[in-house]
Amino acid sequence: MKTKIICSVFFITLFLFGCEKEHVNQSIEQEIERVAQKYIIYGRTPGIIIGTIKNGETKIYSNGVANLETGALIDELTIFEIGSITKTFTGLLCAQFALEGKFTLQDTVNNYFQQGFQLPSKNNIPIRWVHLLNHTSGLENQSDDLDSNEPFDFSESQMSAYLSRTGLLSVPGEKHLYSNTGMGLAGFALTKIADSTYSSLLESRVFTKLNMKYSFCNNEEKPVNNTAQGYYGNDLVDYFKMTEVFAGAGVIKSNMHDMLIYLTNCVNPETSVLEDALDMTLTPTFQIEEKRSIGLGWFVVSNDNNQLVAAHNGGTKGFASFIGFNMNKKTGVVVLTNSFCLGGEQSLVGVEIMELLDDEN
Amino acid sequence: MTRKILTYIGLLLFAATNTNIFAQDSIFVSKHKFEVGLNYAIQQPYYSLTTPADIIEIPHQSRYRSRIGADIKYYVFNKWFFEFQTALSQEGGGFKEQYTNANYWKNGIYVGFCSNHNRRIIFDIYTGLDFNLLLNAKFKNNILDKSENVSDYYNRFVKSFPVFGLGLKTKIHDNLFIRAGVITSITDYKISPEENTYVSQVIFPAFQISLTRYLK
Repeated sequence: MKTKIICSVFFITLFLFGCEKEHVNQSIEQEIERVAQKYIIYGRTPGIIIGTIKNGETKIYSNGVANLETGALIDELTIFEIGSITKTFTGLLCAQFALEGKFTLQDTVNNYFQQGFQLPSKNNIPIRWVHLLNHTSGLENQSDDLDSNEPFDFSESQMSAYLSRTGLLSVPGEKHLYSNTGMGLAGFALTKIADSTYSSLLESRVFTKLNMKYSFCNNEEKPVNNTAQGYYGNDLVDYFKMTEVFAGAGVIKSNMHDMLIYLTNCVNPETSVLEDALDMTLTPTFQIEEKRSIGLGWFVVSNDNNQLVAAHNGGTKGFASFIGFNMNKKTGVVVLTNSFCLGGEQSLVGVEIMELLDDEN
Repeated sequence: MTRKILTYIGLLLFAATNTNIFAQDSIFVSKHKFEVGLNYAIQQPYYSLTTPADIIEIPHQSRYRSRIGADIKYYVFNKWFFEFQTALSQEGGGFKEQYTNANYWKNGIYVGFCSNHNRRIIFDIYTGLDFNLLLNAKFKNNILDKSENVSDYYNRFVKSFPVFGLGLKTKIHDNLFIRAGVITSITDYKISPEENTYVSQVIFPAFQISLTRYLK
């Protein structure tokens, strides 16, 4: 009798497992809201904000909080670290310099540094600008010498010493190896040419021209109140400090207001004041895989419909971000969160929303 | 401190295998095939997203929640048993100020092994799987005083596999035993019904205390 009861409960449970939840048809706005909310519900991040563009119209969806302790809500003006999305801005600056004739992408980068600060070469092949910008320089991602708590705290002299003792992992131009060091040095080389700072270059050449009035590089220079608190799991994280040699790899702080301006310009470069430079950044310079190439900072992927999708994600210790757009359909998305994402979930969110936008009739 | 705890556990295990309480163990078990119990656990649940490495790498908020249940063991042989456990389990995940409480009715089927029944302290270990039925899920933000039913962000049914448990049991009265144990479990990555979303409910650890007796 007791055995029968146990068996009955077991089989009833198994039967119930066969039942599936019904999915209700939702509008695209509801689906995007749901994508935003699920990452809050599952405790992945305290807050998330998603911006989309389609048919020239931008929309913003936010969920969660900018700061768990204060309960401050996230809005389009809340400042986030965008991390490695900065690399697309470095590519844009380099494209501008190249278009102005200050160098060509095939020039050797060492020509723009002083003698005491020289990049290594391999098999007598030097690192060229294009190699830094498409991650084929062969430079390590970042030095093992760096403190894991301050991973981008290298002075110019420390970087110089590192470069003089390090070798390249591959011959420049042959292999794609993602390198924060390489992209940082591209930005640093621009500061030497312009005799300026990375922050000033961005301000004058990009932020001002595109009217991105809330974006900045250096917390000390431009403190703002409306910043999201970054989280590494449950731990609070301070804003990233990046020295000038690494700035081009991930120093920018921005908000959804500005990132949608940037996205709008990228989606419709023909209407942008930076049209030629944006076009240049999106032109593939290296084929990584059959359907995946890289321009100047931007990864360019051919999707299942043979449409070109440009994208980049970003992550610091307390923030995760994603920007991507369909170059053919002129749709795009920006995702900003105030939490580190180990599995790159911000990119999954971004890709999911891009698919929703592209699938919509 | 860790060494002290290990030494203590070692001594308990030593005692479990060396101190007799029932002179005729095999006769006892053959007479008492079933053992029933009531149990309570305090447990630390949290979510893992996308990759199990997330559990180790990312610091998670410690939130302790309760679980209450009943169990029945069937001793196939002297030391091997099947167990069915049913429980109401408070789970969920998130941050201290902003979190989701997900409550389940859990039904577990386990196979286990225990040390001799004629010892003063009996050690047991088991493994198996839980079938979990979602009762409700609420998202809360304490600072904003916000509470929202989010049950539709959860699959109604989800499996936990593997489930591991171990414990020590001793007699406190005629045919009444007290057992203290630890459980850990992880669900498959199907808590969420959403596409491309892989969430697992991890429980580590759950400290369980039970009162059991053999059916005569």
